Amino acid sequence: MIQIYPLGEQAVVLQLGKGVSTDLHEKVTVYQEAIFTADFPWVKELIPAYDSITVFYDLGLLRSLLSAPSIFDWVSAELKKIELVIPLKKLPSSIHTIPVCYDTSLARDIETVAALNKVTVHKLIDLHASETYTIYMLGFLPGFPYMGTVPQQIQTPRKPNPEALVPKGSVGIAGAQTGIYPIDSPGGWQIIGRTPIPIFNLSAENPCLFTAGDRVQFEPISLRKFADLYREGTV
Amino acid sequence: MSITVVQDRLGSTIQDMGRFGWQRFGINPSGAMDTTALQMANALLGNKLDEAVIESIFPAPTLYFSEPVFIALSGADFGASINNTIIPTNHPIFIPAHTTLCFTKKIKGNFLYLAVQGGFLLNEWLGSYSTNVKVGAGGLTGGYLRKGDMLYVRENRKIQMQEEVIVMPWGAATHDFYSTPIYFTASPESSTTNWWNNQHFTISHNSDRMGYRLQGGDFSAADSAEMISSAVTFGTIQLPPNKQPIVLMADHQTTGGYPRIGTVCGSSLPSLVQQNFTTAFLMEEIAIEIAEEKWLQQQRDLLILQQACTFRIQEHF
Repeated sequence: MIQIYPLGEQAVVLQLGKGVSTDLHEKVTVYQEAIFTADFPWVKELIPAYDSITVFYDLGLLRSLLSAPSIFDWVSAELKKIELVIPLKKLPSSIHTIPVCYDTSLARDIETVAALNKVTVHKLIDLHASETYTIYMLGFLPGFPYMGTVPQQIQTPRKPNPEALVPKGSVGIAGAQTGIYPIDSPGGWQIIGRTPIPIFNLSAENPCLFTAGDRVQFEPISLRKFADLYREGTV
Repeated sequence: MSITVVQDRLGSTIQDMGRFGWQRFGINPSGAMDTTALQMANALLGNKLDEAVIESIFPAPTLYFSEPVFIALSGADFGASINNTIIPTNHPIFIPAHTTLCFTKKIKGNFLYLAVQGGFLLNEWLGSYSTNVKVGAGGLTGGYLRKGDMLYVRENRKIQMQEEVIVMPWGAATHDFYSTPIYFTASPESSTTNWWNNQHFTISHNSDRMGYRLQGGDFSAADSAEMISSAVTFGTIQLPPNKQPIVLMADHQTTGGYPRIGTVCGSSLPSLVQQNFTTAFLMEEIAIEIAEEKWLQQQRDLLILQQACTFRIQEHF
């Protein structure tokens, strides 16, 4: 049962369930795709999250077209009935292989995280790289992917005091989530590696490598390989 | 023609109504803090309402105009001055060639907007001229305006050459846009209005383009446990662990995990943005339908202003 509530007078939140799960997220992805397919002229944009989709709409346009007393009520009704109008179907998702160097020189917190979880660094790398992660949503920074689910044995809460600067490309863990910093930024995630691949490129038509719903696999690489790939990317 | 930044003060950027369509990628919209003032400054000059402008905090930059142009100032009053003569806000102003404009005193409000007739020549990023300082894109250089920066004006209309600054006799009435109480609509994470009713709030100095921290009210009974991240917007009121509400502003992140206890109405945001930090104000919850109508009425008023000013300018020249 979809719940819809307002986020101010120019957006609504479609609550498709509660919690973090790949099943629920698949529902989010499919529903989002249906809204894109419907191509409503009054939809400004969408933000999918773990269990919801927020839809921003053009209030001025709708008021000029409708005599409905409440635009919120009208929008809610339109979005609720979308599954009657657009067949909900799952699209194949992209899978990205992201090279990561887990060397301590690029992974300031890897030894701490290993010790906290009572595993060796080697085991931590194996576990982190063994999982195929789902990107639940992008947020916090342009192009920053919130990915799940980190293997139980190495789930670690974020740091109580964030670092002033986490370098671009840093791969981190926060609880059951793993993520990659697209630009230099302050941040509190536990940094266990770094990718030489730019996941945010200002001059590209779409600056962000990732889209919510994509999947990611990490491929461990050596420091030497990191340097080679990094250099390739900057030439 | 160009406008040169003679003296910079960190805190001036180019902004328009914001960058939309990319929030699902985590690209926050940026855009003007006070969208009424942005639109008003443009309306006064007969510009498109969403033309990019200079947004500035105090102290604002000193600017040199090499050629004649019409400008308009709106939003905050920072004591704009040319040759020791005060220039008013909310009127179209004719600026002759070789003029220096400076700002002398923070009189009222927090964000000033300066529009030029015809708009600026700028680089777009993802469909908008708004500056995203975090990634260094949009605006003039992707960052704050600095000493020596030159802004080029897009259009060079044939205007009568005058030697003196001329303040056009017509202007914009702004009081309907900046009143209090500050209205907001409820969200499911708020369960009572007791926290808000008849409570006076002030804006803490620990506030900026990302968010305004409010002081006041009593939210000790509210649940501030972090939740699964979901989308937020300009005006979302969050409750962090210290139980003092934050209103997310133009540079807000696209998603957040703090409980959302309300959303400031679009029609009240300009007023909240410009409240002096020493002034206490009330906040009041209203129904969605009323919030819709208040915003729509403001938009109608801005369009009427734009039409009236375009007519007056054409008549005058």
